[in-house]
Amino acid sequence: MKSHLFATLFIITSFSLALSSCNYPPQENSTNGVSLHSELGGKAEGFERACSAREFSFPEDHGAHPAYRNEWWYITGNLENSAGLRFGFHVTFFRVANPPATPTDNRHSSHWVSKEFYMAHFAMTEGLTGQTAANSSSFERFSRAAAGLSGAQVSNTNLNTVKVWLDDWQLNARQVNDKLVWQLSLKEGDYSLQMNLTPEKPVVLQGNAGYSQKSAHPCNASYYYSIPRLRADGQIMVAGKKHDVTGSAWLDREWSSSALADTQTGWDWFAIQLNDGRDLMLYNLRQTDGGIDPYSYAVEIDRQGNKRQIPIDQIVIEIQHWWQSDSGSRYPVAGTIHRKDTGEVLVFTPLKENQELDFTVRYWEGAIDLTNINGEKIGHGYLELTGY
Amino acid sequence: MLIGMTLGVAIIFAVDIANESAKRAFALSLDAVTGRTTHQIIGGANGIDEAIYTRLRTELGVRNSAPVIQGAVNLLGATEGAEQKYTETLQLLGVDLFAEPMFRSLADQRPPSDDNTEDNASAKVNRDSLKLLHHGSVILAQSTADRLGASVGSSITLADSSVTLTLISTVDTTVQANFENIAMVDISTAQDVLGLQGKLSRIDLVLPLQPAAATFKQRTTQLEQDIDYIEAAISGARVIEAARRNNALLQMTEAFHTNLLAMSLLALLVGAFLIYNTVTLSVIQRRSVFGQLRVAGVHRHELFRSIITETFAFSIAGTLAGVILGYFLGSALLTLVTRTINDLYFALDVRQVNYSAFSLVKACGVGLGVSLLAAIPPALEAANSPPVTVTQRSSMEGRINKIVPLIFIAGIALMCLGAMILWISDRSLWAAFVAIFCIVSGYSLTIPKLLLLLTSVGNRKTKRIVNAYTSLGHYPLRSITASLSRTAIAIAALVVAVSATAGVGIMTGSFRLSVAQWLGDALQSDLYISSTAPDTSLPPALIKEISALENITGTRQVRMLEAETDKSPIRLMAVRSSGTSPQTYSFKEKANRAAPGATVNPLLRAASADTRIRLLQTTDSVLIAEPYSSSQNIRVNDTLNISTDQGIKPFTVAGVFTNYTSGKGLVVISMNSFHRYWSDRRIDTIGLSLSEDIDSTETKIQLRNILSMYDDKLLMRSNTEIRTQSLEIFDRTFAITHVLRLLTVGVAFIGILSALMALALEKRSEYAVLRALGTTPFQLRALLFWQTGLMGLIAGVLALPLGIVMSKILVSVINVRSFGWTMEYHIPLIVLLESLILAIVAALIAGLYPAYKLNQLSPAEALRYQ
Repeated sequence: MKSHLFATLFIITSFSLALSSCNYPPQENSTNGVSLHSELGGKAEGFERACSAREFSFPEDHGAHPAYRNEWWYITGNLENSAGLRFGFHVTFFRVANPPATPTDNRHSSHWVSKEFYMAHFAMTEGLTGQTAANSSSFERFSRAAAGLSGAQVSNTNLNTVKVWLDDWQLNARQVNDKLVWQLSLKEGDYSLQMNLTPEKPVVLQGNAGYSQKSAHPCNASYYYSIPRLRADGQIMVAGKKHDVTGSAWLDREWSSSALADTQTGWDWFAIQLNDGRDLMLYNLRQTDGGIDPYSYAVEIDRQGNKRQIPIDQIVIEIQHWWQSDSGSRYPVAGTIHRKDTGEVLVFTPLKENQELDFTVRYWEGAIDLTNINGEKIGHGYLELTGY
Repeated sequence: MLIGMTLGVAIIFAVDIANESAKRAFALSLDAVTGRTTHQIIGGANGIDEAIYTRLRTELGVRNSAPVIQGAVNLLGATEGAEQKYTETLQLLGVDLFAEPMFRSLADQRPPSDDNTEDNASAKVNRDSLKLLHHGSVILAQSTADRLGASVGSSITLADSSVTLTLISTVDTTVQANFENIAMVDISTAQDVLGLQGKLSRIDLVLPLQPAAATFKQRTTQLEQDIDYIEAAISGARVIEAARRNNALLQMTEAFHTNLLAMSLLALLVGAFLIYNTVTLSVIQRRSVFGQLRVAGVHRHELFRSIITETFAFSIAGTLAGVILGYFLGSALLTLVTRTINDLYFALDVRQVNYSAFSLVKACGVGLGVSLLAAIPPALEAANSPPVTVTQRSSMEGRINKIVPLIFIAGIALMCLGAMILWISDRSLWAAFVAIFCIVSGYSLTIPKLLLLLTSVGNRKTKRIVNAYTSLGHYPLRSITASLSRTAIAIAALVVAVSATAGVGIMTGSFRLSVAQWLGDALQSDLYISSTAPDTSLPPALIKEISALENITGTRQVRMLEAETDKSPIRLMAVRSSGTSPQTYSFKEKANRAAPGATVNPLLRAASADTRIRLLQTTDSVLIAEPYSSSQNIRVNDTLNISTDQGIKPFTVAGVFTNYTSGKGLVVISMNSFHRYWSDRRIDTIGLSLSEDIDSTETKIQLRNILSMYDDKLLMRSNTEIRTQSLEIFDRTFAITHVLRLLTVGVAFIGILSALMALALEKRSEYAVLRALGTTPFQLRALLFWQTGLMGLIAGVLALPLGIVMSKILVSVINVRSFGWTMEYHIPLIVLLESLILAIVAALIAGLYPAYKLNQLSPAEALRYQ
């Protein structure tokens, strides 16, 4: 559960921004958030909603679920080259249903008729080297899901089991020795990413067996699963320079037709991979009154991939540093996570403060480092901050 | 005085407005459909396969690409119950919203602003724009929507498609002028409306020069590599520069606009005459007043200054009124201009009336400048003459008579210059117009002398008759020469106007005759069956069934499509004839000369029509239309490279045939060659020859029955119908020339009216003396009648030679240079007679009012001032 949902719904209302100009001034988040919610609440008709647990079946569920309004394939990762230079990447493919049409009796036979479109985000960040300013860039694309321009397919062939694409940006998966190995292939300008992603843990169904409730209404929910740790290796190009890299990645899949409640303004979402083999995922749904929504969620996944949910009141997050972007938004980019259940303290700091994504919807999505209170590095991860 | 000036300025301004508005709308249309595109991927026949675009994006990663479908559509207005629905022809532009931001800025273009309300407004516009993805959604210009009676959310039906459009948003054309002629829809909608499923009209590309590369050469090399890369991947399609294609389109209408410009120059000339005459009149008319003022002690400088100031004030008022009148006149003319463009070139709908500062300055400059110039000589004269002579007109006429030979020589010289320009200039249209202008102005300069000659001849020859039948003898004739300064200008204006009428009349007459002849030659079949739906063809079963009919003695099958060549794009017409349906083209000897110095296939040297057609059918040859030949400078025996389904192939030009269609060049190929290089097997039109000894009605009924069994929109037309329709279009096209002709005559009419008024006023005393001597008012009126009639006759006679010369230049120089059409030259006598009558009638009508004024003349009153 992360900004994707937020962003996805957002573009329905403010698609313009991408169309008319990239430098368009951002709109007031709160007002849009509200209009978003009203749109969301009323217009899920014609779509199925996630109201209860369901059976998951793979690889089929890696493909699209067109009965639901929104869906995404989300991958983040922390990478390192042989010289020890750090990089973070973030790739998301969104599937979005078009706004509902007034029915006409037009017969259509064109291949371009589409009921949905895809949006994709691609961002790369270079870690600070101390000498030069770190390079980073982010790209956004749109395309209709028709005429072969974008889409998501699952087939039974071993070579192309899963294929999600928008133009020449691709997320593929193929069967290698009983394992589904994922591949990312993206290029834009001076940035590119060619990555093999081999799962090191099985699929983890989030929430209640994949049914992830977001507010009091049972249907304000999504279907949500993750592959919390994939071994990454491949080649990247950052600002025109190629690097052979290795590292670890996180894959999230989520689909729904409506999820947010009126009282929720945004969220802070962590995906943490600890050096001891454990993974931690947690999100706080922030309420308009500044409080934390009880439907916030935290989970720990052990080395073998067994999941243990952590009661949300056992987690306390303290912000230690806010970073303000040129747009005026302030993001809590550094702080500590206290786990009451284990007594652990995790200190998070961003790879780079400015990892704001200046897309149709502006949000902060960035690589973070985790240390203990003594300052020793204990892991890394990704942090997503929306609604600021 | 005001009326003359107003009309003069108005006509100059009006023609300019019509011309500029049409031009601007055209340019904007092109801009709207191509936008920032630098290159385009285009295919052979019927556009390109849509899969090329998918490949371009998903495999080649060419992101700066956008698919486009374009075609003309007719939108029907929402008028309930009306029999003839309001129809608007627009360019349907099918786009992929997601690919657009790089290309057309069809969405709101306002710069980002801090103003909150503005932001909300554009957010709304853009939220709507996402709805464009829905099948049937359309965005129109607000003004277009208003005319159609459509509001956001309402349905719009199309004249030639079953798809119903829903208006989802409008664009304010005051912000986005280039949207005026556009109906923007999603690419899926466009495919279904135009029947282009699986196809794209083109793919627009933005291939930037690499800014990082150091030199321009490196940058262009990179660009060429990009193009090669794309071209290598898309077989059967080509990448071309967008500007090149647009230029080809622009050039097509250029000639038409130049012709209109010539019209406006003519208007300028006539308008200037008119203003000059009016101003001179107003000054001279008051000579006696000025004389009295001088007697009363007004200094000559003061007098001069006051005359000039007064003229200036008047000319400002007149010019202003003229500009306003011109604006409205121009808007009316614009409709005609647009219609011509629509018929000839490109679906265009011009609603916005535009004028440039230049045309405004030009009109005002002519208004003010000519007025002042015209006022100076008489004002000087009035100011410098001794008070006594100022009151006498004769002093001025005396001087005028002295300079008549001078301006005569100048006129002859000017005409010679015009002839020389015509001789020297090779293909320049402009030079031809300059030459016409020289000849016309030169001729008008010779008019005073010709007038004197003509009247003296008239005097001698008619002495006896005149003396026998009229009491006033040669008075009417002599009085024309006696006040030469006045009458010569009026007659010159009338001559120019009438000769233009005659010239253009002869030209259109010749043209029409040629077109009619050509239609007769070209339409050899008796019946034509074609499909009316865009980009559809006749069902093969139908062709078989029809060809098998008993009374059909021959068929002529035609497939028409657009193709690209190494020159400009063409319309390729593949033809197969069978049975008694002959292949008829007329080949003019002159048009079929090979390029000088070329090694010509001996078969093609002075080949007969049969030889050319045999070559067409047996070899890789084509026949090209005359306009295409002359505009692209392609001659017989040259090679034309056409992009076929099997790549670019060379074809020899076996002949240049006469053709009066315009727009894209027409190229004929045999069906066999066509099938060899193209995979297209469709037929658009089939022409049927019926056996002569049977009643064609029966066959027609039989055919109708067959046609009714096929679902497609099929149309059967007889050869007469097509001919009538074609000539209708022809006449419509030339409607604007008729209107301009009449306008010119109108202006000249006002000119002659004012000249006669002046004469009548000046001659008050003369007439008073006549009255006092016993002439009856009736005789006086008869006198004036004779006088004006004579002026008209003289103008008419003098106009004829100029008109004939003008028409000859129009037919054999201007038309060839601007359209590439050669035509039979034919002088319809009726046009000459019409011109003569027009001149006389115009003059006579112009004489009515002065005669009426004269009637009210009280001899005693008039004589009192003597």
